Amino acid sequence: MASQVFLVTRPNYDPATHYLYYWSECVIDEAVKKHLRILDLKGKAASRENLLSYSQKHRIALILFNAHGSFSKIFGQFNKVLLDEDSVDIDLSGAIIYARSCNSAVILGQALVDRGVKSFIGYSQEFAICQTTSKISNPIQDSIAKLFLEPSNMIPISLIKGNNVQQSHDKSINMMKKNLYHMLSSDASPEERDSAPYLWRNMKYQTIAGSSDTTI
Amino acid sequence: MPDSQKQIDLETQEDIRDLVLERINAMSSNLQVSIGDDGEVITKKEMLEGVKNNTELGQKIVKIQMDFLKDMASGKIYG
Repeated sequence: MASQVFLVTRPNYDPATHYLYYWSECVIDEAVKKHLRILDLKGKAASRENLLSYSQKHRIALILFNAHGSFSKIFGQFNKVLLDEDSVDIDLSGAIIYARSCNSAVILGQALVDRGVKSFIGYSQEFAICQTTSKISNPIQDSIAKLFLEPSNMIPISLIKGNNVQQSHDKSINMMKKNLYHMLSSDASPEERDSAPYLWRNMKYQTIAGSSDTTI
Repeated sequence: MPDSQKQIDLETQEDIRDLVLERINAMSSNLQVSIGDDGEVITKKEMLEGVKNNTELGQKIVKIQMDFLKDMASGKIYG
């Protein structure tokens, strides 16, 4: 049986994308363990042309978009448009998408579902990451960013493990809730406590468009 | 809207801004936030300037902080 295809886009040109670039490697490691075929559009390769080409050559089961976004667009390297609601030539039908980007769940997510994407998990408001200033050059060692990006990574990792969309969303929400309760506790560091409003925002606005009981 | 109501609203806005400024002042300087599509991280200093000057960024920070406080007060966060 042919391997399922996992596509990840991870531009890397500013502090936010730099963090998402490195934190995506944990998801890629899990996909390797589960023998998925990985299409890794990283850095300059995170372009509309490459996404179009891969969409024509492969039936993609799971997509992780790491990017800046808007209500109707997801961006690639250097904020060039990777995908928008009018990109009818890019056929992602049958895929489950997790977009780790701002605002894209409402308009773009629904437009993609209307065009055959099984499910789109994303954010109806801006996605936030708090970072430790002294750890900016070493994102994986940043314990504050971990409070945001580990629950976010939980979505694709859970999907790769065979859970459905709703279960994966719930696991992510539960991990954010656990982190948030720690951040509000007397055990929290000042940085953890100060980050709480931003994690709450991600938790509150993480949303699903399309089918919630589907798997890859 | 009557002038007296406008005055109350303005005073409330100022009180909210002062509250958020206090929260940011108490924030660790070793923390920064990536939010939005401009790609830049927001430092404590930039947050303070934005809120003081009522810029777009400042309004965003006020909204995030106030949403959090309201949801804490209503118990929604612990729901």
